[in-house]
This record gives sequence, C-alpha cells and structure tokens, in this order.
Amino acid sequence: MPTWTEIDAYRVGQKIGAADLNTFAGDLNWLAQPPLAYYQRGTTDGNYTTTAVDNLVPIDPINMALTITTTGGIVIAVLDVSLAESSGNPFPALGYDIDEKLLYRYGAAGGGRQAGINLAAVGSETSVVLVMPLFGIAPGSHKIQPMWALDSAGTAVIVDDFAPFFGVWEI
Amino acid sequence: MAWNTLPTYSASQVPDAAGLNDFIENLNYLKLRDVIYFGQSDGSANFTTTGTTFGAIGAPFTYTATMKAGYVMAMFHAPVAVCSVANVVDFTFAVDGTIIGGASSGIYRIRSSIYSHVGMLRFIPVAAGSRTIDVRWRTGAGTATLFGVGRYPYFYLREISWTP
Repeated sequence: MPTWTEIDAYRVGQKIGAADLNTFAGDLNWLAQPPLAYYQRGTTDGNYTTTAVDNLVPIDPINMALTITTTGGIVIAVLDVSLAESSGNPFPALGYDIDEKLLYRYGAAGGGRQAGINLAAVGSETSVVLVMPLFGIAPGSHKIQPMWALDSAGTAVIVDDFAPFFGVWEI
Repeated sequence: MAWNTLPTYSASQVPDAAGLNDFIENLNYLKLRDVIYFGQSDGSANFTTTGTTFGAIGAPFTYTATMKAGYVMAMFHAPVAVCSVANVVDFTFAVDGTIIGGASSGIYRIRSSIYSHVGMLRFIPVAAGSRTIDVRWRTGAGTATLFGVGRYPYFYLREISWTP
C-alpha cells in the first residue's frame, strides 16, 4: 500500500531532486489507493444474532473487526445489513467501536426504541445502511468494528442472505 | 483521461516536460476520476416490475465504462418504493450481471405494502476492463413500484481506490 508523506513548503532557491519527485509520486499513489478495508459476508456463512440489551457488543469480532492504518484523516464507516427479530419485539441500536476505546453510537441507550429500527420476522427483513464519518482518529493502525444491542429482551438477527457488509475508508 | 504509472526517479535523473506533465495528469485525474456517474430519474415516470427474479431497473440506473482494477463506491437512493401486495421488494447492485447477495434477497429489502425508502451503499471490487454496474430488483409477488414521478431516485458511482 502506498504511504503518505507530509511535504514541507519549498524555500526560494531550493532545488527539487529525485527524492522529492518520488515523494510527490508516493503521495499521488496514496490518493489513488487510500486506506480501505471491508468485509462482505457470504450468503451461506451464517446469520448473526444478539440478545444483548443496552450495552453495545461486536456484531462479528473476527471478520468485521477491520484494521486500517490511517494518516489521521476522517474515516467513513459503512454498515449495510438486513435485520429481523426471532423473539421478542426488540429495537436495535448500532454503533462503531475504535480500538475498543472510542465508541460512536447510533440510537440511545436505556430502552425505548433505540435507533427506531422496527424489526419483523425473518423473511420480512428491515434493511439498514449506517454511514458515519469517524473523527478524531490519530494517525496509525486502528481496529474498527460495528456494534449492536437491543432495547429490550429478545433476539435480533442479521441475515446472511443479504451479504452483510462493513467497510471503512479514509477520505 | 488517463492515470499514469509514475517512475521511481534515480538520484541524478531530471524529469523532462513529459515526466512533469504525467504528475499533472495524475493530479487532474484524482480531481475528476474516470468512473464518476450520477444517474437520476427526471421525475416524469415511475418504474414497475412483476419479476420475481432480479432484473435491471434500467436507465438511468445503469452505467458501463472501462475501469481499472480496484474499488467503486456505489450508492442508490429512492425516496419511495412499494409492493402492491403484502410481500417484499428486494434491491441489489450487479456487476456484469452478477448480483450481490442471495438470489431471493439481494442486499436491501422493503416489505409488505408499506411505502418505504430505499438506500444502498457498497464498496464493489471491479476487475480491469469494460464493466457494467447497475441496480436490480425483484418482487416476491404482485407489482413493485419505484416512484419516479415527483421523486428523484438516483444512482451514483465513484472510483475510490485502484492499484496505482
């Protein structure tokens, strides 16, 4: 993967050499191929389920825990899943966790319909795409993963037929 | 517009005008990109299907271009879609006719006869060459309607990463 190099401003009279040109080229290549990672689940790889209430838990701590090395810019996180319920009448919340320390949450805790995602039985899925810019990520390697929880007792399902997708991309 | 593979300059090498112009072309390419497509309904007609297997919605939700090996971000948004009966309408993207997701699900579902919004976004890997990316749909039963009249569903593609 290309690396990004900060380029200092040139002084009057400073000559440009091969190393400078290679740095320019390297930065152009970085812009062409910025840090990007994603996981798309196969349609027969199995559903995800959760019964967790209130406190967000990882959707898939193995496959959807993506590592991305950034330059400190904004990271766009995209979660594209189709949800159902197999018991209860739960309303899920979603979120993104960075390095198991910084959590972005979509949907309030403490009961009461969380993110307002109304679920029905498998076969009548609710499709959700959560696109969120993640700020405040320092330069370096980071693990980012999507999270979920429910507002009440029950079981939510992310159905594999819809090729659940999670991606991150530094812009 | 072309993307130029830039050389690695050796210590004594001095770029000529052509070499510098390659840098400029690459800068311009990053600004404009080859694969940027925005196709939006003109608001004059709705789209309907009774197909229970995935088929293309059709123009303007389809795009063909020569692409580099890499990733394209695809977005599709439709303010309102509905099924005429209590069943489902499924949507997905396809590359050269190959859909993402299951044959009876795609990647996005609206259900029953509830008027619903459709919003899809994926990073899609593409191989080098001429590629067609389009939006496809199916219904479980009845007639699916994607409202174009007075609404303006759109399909957006952007090349976001390629091997330089």
